[in-house]
Amino acid sequence: MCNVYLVLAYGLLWGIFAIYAWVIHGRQQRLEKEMQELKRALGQR
Amino acid sequence: MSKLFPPTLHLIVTFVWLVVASYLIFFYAPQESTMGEVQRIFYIHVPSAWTAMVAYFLIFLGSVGYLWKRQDAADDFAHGAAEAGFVFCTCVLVTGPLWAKPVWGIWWTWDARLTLTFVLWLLFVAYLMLRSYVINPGRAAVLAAVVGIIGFVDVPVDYMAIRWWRTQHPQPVIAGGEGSGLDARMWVALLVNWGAFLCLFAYLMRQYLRLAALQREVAHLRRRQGANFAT
Repeated sequence: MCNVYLVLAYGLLWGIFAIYAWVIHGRQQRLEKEMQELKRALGQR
Repeated sequence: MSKLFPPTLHLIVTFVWLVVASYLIFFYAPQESTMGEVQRIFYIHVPSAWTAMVAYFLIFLGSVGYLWKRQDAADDFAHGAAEAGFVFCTCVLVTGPLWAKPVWGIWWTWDARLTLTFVLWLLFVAYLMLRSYVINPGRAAVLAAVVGIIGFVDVPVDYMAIRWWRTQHPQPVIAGGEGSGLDARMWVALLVNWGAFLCLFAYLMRQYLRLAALQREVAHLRRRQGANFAT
């Protein structure tokens, strides 16, 4: 069960998924923040 | 879609499905007799490859749709498939060499299947680079759609490479004709993993589509703010 290549492949797979999820979440957060600022500047709720 | 199957529920389903799929890899699927434990990479490598190919097919559909109707939704669909597909294709290129080294004794060789999969990854990169570097969004969408359509030629050739040519990559064990095949429990583990990967792919695409909607909203607000300053 403890084959180093298997553990490495499985770990890297989840690492890649996690990095992409983190990146896309960060992009969404930045855009949401910018949208709120723009709405405030334009006098919207 | 969001009301019937909200993103939070989608995330929970994906997570549970992935946990079940991982259980099947490590505790349900039998050990392969010649390769041993390392063969279990098969259950993540093959579904990643199939998902990447499905992703490129969706890019192709979205690209054709965009060039035909010029609707932003088709372009967003293709762009979302490209981003998520790039992630899965990267997984193929990472897990493949980690399986090849203990089994073949080498990390990589330029045989037809491996080279065409690398070309597929480069096509994802080219598509995403076009989106990033062409400033005019309309022009970027058209150029990316052309790459999406022309590049799709690689997908069927990549799939058939191990059937058409003698390669270092193993000959097909699935749909490979006489003498090929899998143990029933291996089939279950493989298909459950592919289902989980497709569910994750769909979730990542949904997140991209939300991002694209936010980008349009922000661009619209910026234009309004610019117009306010001008007057």
